[in-house]
Amino acid sequence: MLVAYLRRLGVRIEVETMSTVTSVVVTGIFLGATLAVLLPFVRFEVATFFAVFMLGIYVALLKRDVIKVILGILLSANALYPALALLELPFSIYLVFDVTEILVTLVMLWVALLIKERYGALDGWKANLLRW
Amino acid sequence: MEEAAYLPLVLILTPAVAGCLAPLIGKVSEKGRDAFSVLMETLTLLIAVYAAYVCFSGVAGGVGIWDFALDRLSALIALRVTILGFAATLYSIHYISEEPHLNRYYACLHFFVAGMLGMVLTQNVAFMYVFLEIMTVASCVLVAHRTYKEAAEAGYKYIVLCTIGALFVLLGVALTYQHFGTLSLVAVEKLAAADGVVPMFIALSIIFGFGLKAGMVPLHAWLPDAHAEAPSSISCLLSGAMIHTAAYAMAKVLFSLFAAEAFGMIGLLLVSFGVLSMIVGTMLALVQTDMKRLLAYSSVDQMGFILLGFGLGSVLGAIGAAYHILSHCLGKGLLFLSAGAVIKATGTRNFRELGGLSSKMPVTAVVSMIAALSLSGVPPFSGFISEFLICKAAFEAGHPILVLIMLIVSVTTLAYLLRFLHATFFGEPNGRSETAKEAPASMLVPMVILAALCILFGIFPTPVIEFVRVACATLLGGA
Repeated sequence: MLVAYLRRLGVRIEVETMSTVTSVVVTGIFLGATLAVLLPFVRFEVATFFAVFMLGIYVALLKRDVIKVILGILLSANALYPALALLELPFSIYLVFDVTEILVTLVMLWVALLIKERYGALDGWKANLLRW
Repeated sequence: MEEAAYLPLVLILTPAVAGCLAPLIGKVSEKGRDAFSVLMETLTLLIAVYAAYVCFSGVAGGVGIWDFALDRLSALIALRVTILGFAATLYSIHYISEEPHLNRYYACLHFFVAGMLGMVLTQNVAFMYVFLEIMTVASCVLVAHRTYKEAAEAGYKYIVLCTIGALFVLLGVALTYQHFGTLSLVAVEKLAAADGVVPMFIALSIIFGFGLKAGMVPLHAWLPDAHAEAPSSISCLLSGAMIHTAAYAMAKVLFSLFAAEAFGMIGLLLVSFGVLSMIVGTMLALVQTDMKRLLAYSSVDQMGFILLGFGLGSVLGAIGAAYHILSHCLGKGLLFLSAGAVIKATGTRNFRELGGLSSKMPVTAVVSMIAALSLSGVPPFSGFISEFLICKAAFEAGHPILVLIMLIVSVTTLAYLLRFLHATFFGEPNGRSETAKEAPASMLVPMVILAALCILFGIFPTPVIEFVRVACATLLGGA
């Protein structure tokens, strides 16, 4: 449904570019997350989820399509929920977390559509009027 | 005192209920909605004053129920949020009256205040994350409220970066529960050392998550855009209340999880980020010609003082930071409100296009000057007391170089604020200034109240210092 909706909005082709600084930062983040899983001296119980979490952050920082940025953030959030489930928190906490996440996603979509409306595309990098 | 246990909940629920009802009332009567909004924020302020009184009259340890508690420090921080919430709502009545979507605006404004109060008053890190997200969602809608190109961009940057920050807080929550077996900051047993991977990850997640929300350099990219593009009443809350709430939450979690012995490395991180924020914020503020962006970068540099105060890990440093939260909240909130009045009267944010407004807007000029002097740490205003306390704490901790940096930053702050005020209010009036009129009473009253508080807390600092001393000592647990 989301794909069909995006096609209706005219989102078909996307060209991804990024600066050297961003590349170095996201590569560093991703390597850090990988090390957290692989190396015995930094490994901890929720490290696998942490790696997926960092992958989501990587996607959010790398992608210029606002919908993909939102999906990256959701990927990060969804990586944390299984980790939280492992910890056997009170059920009400999960419920509150879920409602909060839905609310955040709705507002992110509202802003994404605002970007599409004002800039004529879902390209987040076109929204660059504000600098320093 | 049993009824007092419900005070934190009542304090959070009052603006939350207002947020639910304001749009419904707005469908029937716009004036009714405005009056209701002011009434509910006044009620919240009165409850916060009563809560502070309850804490002041002997309940140093705090009162509360269900992981929501009120101690002296949180009472002070909550009081400051409600003062600005009241000021922003009263100011909004005239300031934003001609704009569309006001039901949404007032609903989000109340939820924003409720989110901040929730963050301050909860003792549970999971609830803290939830209130952080409520605060982010409500404030994002307010930042993008005007929906023009720049507002949409600012809202987009804000929601993406702050949600990433909130996710780091959630990661910290998961790791905290895994390591400590509880989410309650009261029940947690402090760590004597921050060695090992998990404690360091917890500390870094919390610093990164809350630091992003607090506008700490290098995580401040969203701040100047959001503060500049939001309506001035909201900039006042963002800069005067929200970023400090995040800084306070960060300090509260870190001080609750780590004992004095374990705080060395974490404190060093906070001090480093604080110094970086001061230097970068000041340098960027110096080159601005947009008054709201100048004030936004000024918030970044003032956040540096607060981080430095907390990072020193001493009771005096924490008191200084708490006092600076109060004085910056009053000063910066006031400057954003007066900037809003100037923008509404002249139609420009570029202060180079202005001049000679002091004769047209004398009250706005005087209160702006008071706020600028307070923020720059000039006696007898409240900013002087807080900056003096932080400087003293740094000196006592054996860091004279930090004192020197703070003095230089204070002088530079005075320089860029005076440059802004001189260009706006003094000199020859130009085209835009000639037609300007003084703001109406509903906008002036909150500004005058904040200016009076800047002077009051500067002349009589002792009650506030005594008020937070015990709470800071308890929070630091001898750190």
